[in-house]
Amino acid sequence: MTEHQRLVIVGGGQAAAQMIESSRRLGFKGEILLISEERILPYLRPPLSKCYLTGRYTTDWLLYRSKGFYQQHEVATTLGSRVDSIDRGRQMVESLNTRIQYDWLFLATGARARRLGVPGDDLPEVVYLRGVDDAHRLSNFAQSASRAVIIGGGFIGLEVAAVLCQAGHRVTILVAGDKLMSRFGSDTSSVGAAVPSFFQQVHTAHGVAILFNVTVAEFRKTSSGAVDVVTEGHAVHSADFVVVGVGAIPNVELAVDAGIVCADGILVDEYGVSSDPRVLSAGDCARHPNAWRAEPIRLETVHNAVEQPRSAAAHIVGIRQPYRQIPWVWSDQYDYRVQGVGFADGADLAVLRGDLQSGRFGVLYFAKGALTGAEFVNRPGDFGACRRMMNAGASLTVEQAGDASLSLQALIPRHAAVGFDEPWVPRPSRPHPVRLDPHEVHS
Amino acid sequence: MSTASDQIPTKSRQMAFVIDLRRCIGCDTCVLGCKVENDVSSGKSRLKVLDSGGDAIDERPRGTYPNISQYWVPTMCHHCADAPCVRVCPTTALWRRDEDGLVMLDKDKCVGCRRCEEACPYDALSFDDDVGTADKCNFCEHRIAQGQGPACGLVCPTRAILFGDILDPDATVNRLLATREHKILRASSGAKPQIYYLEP
Repeated sequence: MTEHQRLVIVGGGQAAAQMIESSRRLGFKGEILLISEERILPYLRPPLSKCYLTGRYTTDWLLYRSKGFYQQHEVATTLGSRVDSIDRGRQMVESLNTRIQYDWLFLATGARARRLGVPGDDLPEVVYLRGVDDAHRLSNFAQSASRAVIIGGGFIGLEVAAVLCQAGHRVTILVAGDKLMSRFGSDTSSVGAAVPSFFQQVHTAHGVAILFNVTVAEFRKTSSGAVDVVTEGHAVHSADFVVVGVGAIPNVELAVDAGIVCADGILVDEYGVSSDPRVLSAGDCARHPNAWRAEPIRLETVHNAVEQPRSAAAHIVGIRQPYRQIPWVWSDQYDYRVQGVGFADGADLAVLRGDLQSGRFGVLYFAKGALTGAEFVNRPGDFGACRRMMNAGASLTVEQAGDASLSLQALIPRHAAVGFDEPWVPRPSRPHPVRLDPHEVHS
Repeated sequence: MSTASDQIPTKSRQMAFVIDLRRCIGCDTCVLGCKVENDVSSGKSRLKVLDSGGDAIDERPRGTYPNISQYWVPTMCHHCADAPCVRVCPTTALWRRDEDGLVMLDKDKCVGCRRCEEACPYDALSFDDDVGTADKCNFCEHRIAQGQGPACGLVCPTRAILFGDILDPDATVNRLLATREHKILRASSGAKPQIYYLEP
């Protein structure tokens, strides 16, 4: 049924690659064309602010799937190209003055780094980390300079700070708000702020200077080649290079121009379908309904980029597979991994699990007695159990959450015991076995 | 009875274990050999030996005397030809090596999300207690590269664990499968596992 159809995928991130994989796996037999502005095949972005900055890894290591994957799945790839417009009436996109017909259009245009828009924003020493080229620039600076100012106290800023600090750089973080990791924690109590506070202490202990409630007014290049970061309070922070991580903006212009309904993201349903039934979207650029939220949400997470396209791929081959999973995120900083699942905002109770001083603890969030989210530092087993619980709709009491001696994994068994599906035939009816050389281990 | 060739796609080599349940005595030497060879963390293991009731700890004969029976089932990563862990891994930390069908794990890419734990039909992954990085059997890939077999098979005192290329008609593993009744664990998973068990 899909043999004579063409799926055009716009964008070259993880959602695009997952759409290819899932649609082929689910039986889409038609033509697939990938058009990406990136010059390399879809790759993993999370390492760009983490281990990739150390320079120990190649660009090939980053690739989400190898070149052979696209050949195997008979995908035509057009890299370094952009789609200029969509003609929804004729079901065509225009790219490089060529009109390409589609039966299904999948928009995985992702997001771009939010810019500060202040004077000096475009200096070469000011790096907005989004793509692999940005990471290479940053890596080059990191090898030749020693003072860094990081604007933003979110995951990207903190992860970069950790890598640079461990490489011996002097790092200052300027934060617009009054806490780190603004998407983590809740205002319910001091427990609700435990994870951001913990990471503030960790960074400080590593020698990172963190300044809150700072708004950047300007970047100035000095005669010595350094960059002065000037704040609205007229304070000056000198650095050899600056990294800015202040959020991302969804790339929706193509969809907006085509008349597809957007609101801080391309609005899609739980199957990834936009206001045009032939146009689907997933990943950072898509705003979708979520069972745990009253309003549609847009997620800039790996989980979302992988799972949402599975539902979209199912849709184009006629399978109803709604995207309803609980979202999760992670971040690696120094020797710590923080993993979050669900949502902390809206909670009326935060429960501490484990010991803060040990660096192995969690905070679980409840609203009206029901678990809504959890954040764990170096408690990966609890994280996995909570994610499974929330996806399964299993309940957890406040008392269980706070009892660190209780195994959450034991509360939500993974699967049945491993065994053979069918019993063995009773031994007397079997033929006599072949005798082997007792020293033969492998052929 | 399904055959090995039903279970795997066309490729040049597909390495596999053939485990003779009639020979296995449940001594756990393979578990220890694996830990030593691969420097597996304390409290973790890449393989376990289940008894016929599917339990690695509470081992006891099944049935009513005198009609009782017991056998042991060594199990580790089954290096599935259609590995569910590879399908769900969001960071491609788990991937399948084309040249010999090994399911590989790149620990530097693992983010400890445990999606593989949910997907694996064989409970074959263990996880670091601090940051949750996965660990699993890799068929002693470093030994294969030197033309040797996995450590578990080497140390097995009854030679119950055999290793070879399931696509090589002259391989011992194939000769055994051609002449002995064999099964795969959880065949209904559809994962096309590459550990074949000879009848107990």
